[in-house]
Amino acid sequence: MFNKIKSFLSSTRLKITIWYSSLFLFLEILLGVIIYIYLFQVTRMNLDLNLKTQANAILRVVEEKHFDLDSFEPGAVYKSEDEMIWDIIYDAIVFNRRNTFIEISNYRKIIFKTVNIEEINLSFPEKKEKEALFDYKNEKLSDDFIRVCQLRSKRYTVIVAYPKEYIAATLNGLRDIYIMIAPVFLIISLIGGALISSKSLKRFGVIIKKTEEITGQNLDEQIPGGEYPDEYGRLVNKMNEMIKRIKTSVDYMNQFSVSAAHELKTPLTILRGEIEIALKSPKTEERYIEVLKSNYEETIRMIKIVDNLFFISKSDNALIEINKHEINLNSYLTSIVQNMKILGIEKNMTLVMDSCPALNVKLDSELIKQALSNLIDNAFKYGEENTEVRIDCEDLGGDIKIMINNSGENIPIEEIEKIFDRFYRADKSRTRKTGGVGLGLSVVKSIVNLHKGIVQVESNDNFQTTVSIILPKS
Amino acid sequence: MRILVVEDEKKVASFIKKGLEEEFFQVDTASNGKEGYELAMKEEYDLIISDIMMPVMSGIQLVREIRKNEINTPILLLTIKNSTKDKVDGLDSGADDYLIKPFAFEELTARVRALLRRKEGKKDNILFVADLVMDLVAHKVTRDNIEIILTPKEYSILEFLMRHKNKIISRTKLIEHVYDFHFDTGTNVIDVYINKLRSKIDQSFEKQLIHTIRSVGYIIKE
Repeated sequence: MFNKIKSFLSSTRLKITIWYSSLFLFLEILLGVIIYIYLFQVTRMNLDLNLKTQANAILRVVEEKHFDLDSFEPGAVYKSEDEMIWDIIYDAIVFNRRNTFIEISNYRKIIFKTVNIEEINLSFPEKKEKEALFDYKNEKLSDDFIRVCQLRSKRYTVIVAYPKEYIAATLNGLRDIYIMIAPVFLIISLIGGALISSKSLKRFGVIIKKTEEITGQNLDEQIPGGEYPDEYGRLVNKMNEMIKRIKTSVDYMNQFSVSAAHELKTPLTILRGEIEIALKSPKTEERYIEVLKSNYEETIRMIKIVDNLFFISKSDNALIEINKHEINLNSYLTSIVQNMKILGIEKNMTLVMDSCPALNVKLDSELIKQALSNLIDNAFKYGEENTEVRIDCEDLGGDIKIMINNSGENIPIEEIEKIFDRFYRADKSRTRKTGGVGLGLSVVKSIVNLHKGIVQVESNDNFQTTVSIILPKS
Repeated sequence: MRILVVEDEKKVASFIKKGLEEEFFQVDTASNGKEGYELAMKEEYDLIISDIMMPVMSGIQLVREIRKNEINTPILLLTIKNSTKDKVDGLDSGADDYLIKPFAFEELTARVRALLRRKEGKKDNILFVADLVMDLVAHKVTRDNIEIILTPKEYSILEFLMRHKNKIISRTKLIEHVYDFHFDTGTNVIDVYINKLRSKIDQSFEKQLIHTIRSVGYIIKE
């Protein structure tokens, strides 16, 4: 349970949701603030403009009509022409739905006040400028500042004022709406974020589940979803490719160890059996020596198998370096033939070298010697008794071809391709026991490949088998 | 008891042969399935031990061919591969048992005894006729609780007779089962061994167990 919570808290899903919601909320607040500031500025500018327009209108009317305002008394009876002016002023005031404060004065006294300030004994401060816009504070009128526009002419001063709190009220209303809406938005964005992230991340759950299931035993399985064209599909495809690569190397290792075990099992069977029987009951001294000799042979055989396996493994993993140097082909082959001749004695076979050109070639003499020894060894092993193994060379221009030929049972065509396969001996279709040769030939192939050469096998129905290696001269 | 060992790895065949001979079995060897098949058709074996991976004819093919010819000799397969499929293939082809190389020789002999027992419908490794008892594992023969020392050949002949007690066994059959195929069946060597056996088993006892059936062979009965 705790782990579940922990993994939930650290899940990308939660992170994405939180990020998404935070961003959403941040943008919402930012937008709110921008709108607030903008509206604040606009209403202020509008207010100033309105106040000015209104003041101007009043001043113009008052100025244009040259009648005596000094004697004006509110509530008095006027001449008809004056009444018209007052109607205009009145009109200006009445249609001022916003309830502005208006005060008209000449230098001596206030000659007009709107109703809303009639009862309040206050006077707006006088400014010297012809036109002034300023904030004015008076508790009697408003807790907030009052925006005042004052216009002066020679005779009159017109003051139009408006409490800022009314603008603030609008803006505050806007702010309140935002504050109220914000949590709703936050919840919506959280849910939305969770939905979107879970939808996109749900597929990752598939990867997690599948990768949990995949072990060394079921590497042929694939993570589903490679068909999606997005990053997810690409990730799945890359992971599947990785699984394939892992499978290839696991298969290689498995096959390698299986084949290693198989190679070693025959000598081990012999060692175990012979020793068990020798220990079961007393034997003659000759018999013990015989068993020890045989055990020794098997031990050597196992060492050879292990060496071969080691060589192949190293070569497969590109750990073998070749040191090419120039040698004289003829004398090089002659010395190998001299050394290998002895192996034919048991079956009364001879090793003959045909004409090999005395040309200089560049190769790794140690490795090629190992390859040729393996091939000659095989030729003796599979050659008929009392026949000869022939070594021949051919100059192919850029390449040199070395051929090893023996007389004996032919290798079936379908098997020729397989004999160089290091795992051939473990192959189910195998009926021909090659006695460690499978590895020997794999070693040959590895060595020739290192030299960028090729190995060929010809085994026709004429009881002749020829293995050739073609190597570049340098 | 005569056993055919079919194995292409000469040394493996050789130690199996030596080991089984120490257990008083007569062993022939063949180096591939085809050779093994020819021998199995020609000679009469009590048991066949065969490798699976062999040139010319595999062990599995060998078993199939043998069974096709209605030869029901128990067959024990030796395999290098420890896979279920191989075991299943081997047993399904008609083999009776299998053993994975490298095996403990004692296990091989135990399985050989078990297969021979099963063939005869027996449950233990003791053969007896009246008070004559043969322990097939310890290779000990007693009569009236007195141990009788036998040579391997005498033991083999007695074993064969006791395995087929109350049945008349011809000289030819005895020779076939207690000698490997290099033996010349024309001699009367069996009679010599039977006489030796009689002197060891029956001489000091009142009740005679080994009887001669004139011009046919021998029988062991109470």
